[in-house]
Amino acid sequence: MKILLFAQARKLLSRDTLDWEIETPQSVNSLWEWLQSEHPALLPLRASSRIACNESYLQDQSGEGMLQPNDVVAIIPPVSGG
Amino acid sequence: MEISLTLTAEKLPRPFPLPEFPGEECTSGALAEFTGIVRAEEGGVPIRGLQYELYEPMALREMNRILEELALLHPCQRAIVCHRYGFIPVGEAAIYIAVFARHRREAFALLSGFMDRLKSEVPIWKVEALPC
Repeated sequence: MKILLFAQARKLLSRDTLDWEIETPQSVNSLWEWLQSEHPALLPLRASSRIACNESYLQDQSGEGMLQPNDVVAIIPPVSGG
Repeated sequence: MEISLTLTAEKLPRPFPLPEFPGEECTSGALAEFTGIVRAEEGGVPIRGLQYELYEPMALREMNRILEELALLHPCQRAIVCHRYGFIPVGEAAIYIAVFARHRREAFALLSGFMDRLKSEVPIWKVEALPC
């Protein structure tokens, strides 16, 4: 799964993408658990960020929302356009 | 509603070039415009500009979705949105919006509602305020 990082998330890791090698659907909770393990610097963003999947906000923003192996996922920190 | 969205790293022109009113065919009675400008201070600190970042395909999708949803509540005829990204110096526009409608109330309501939702839903970020 490709994970896109923007704004604070990109700054915290000094990179704009991550790859999570999975073969079966995973929950948003599982995504954050993997991030906690592999990229703990992102954890402060967990409470305030939303998850996007294939260029749309994931409908189920609870930890139970499901992600497919071929999805392009994005971590969306609080936005501030305009 | 006809929707036109642009994301650009270029300076937004002032005045923004709008299509000509279609003369005798014109059914619009209102044109509401808004320009968001970079202020000379951020949090009380003097700055020379703001750096914006965006997730382009999703920003376009979200803006389109929001406008379509708002148009159900406030029927308008046309919306034109142009948001700049990258470094934007103080005094230059970050966003320009024009809304055409039959009457002013719908145009104002859609414009105001769009700006509110843009600031909470569209993946565009002010990532850095560059000090003077």
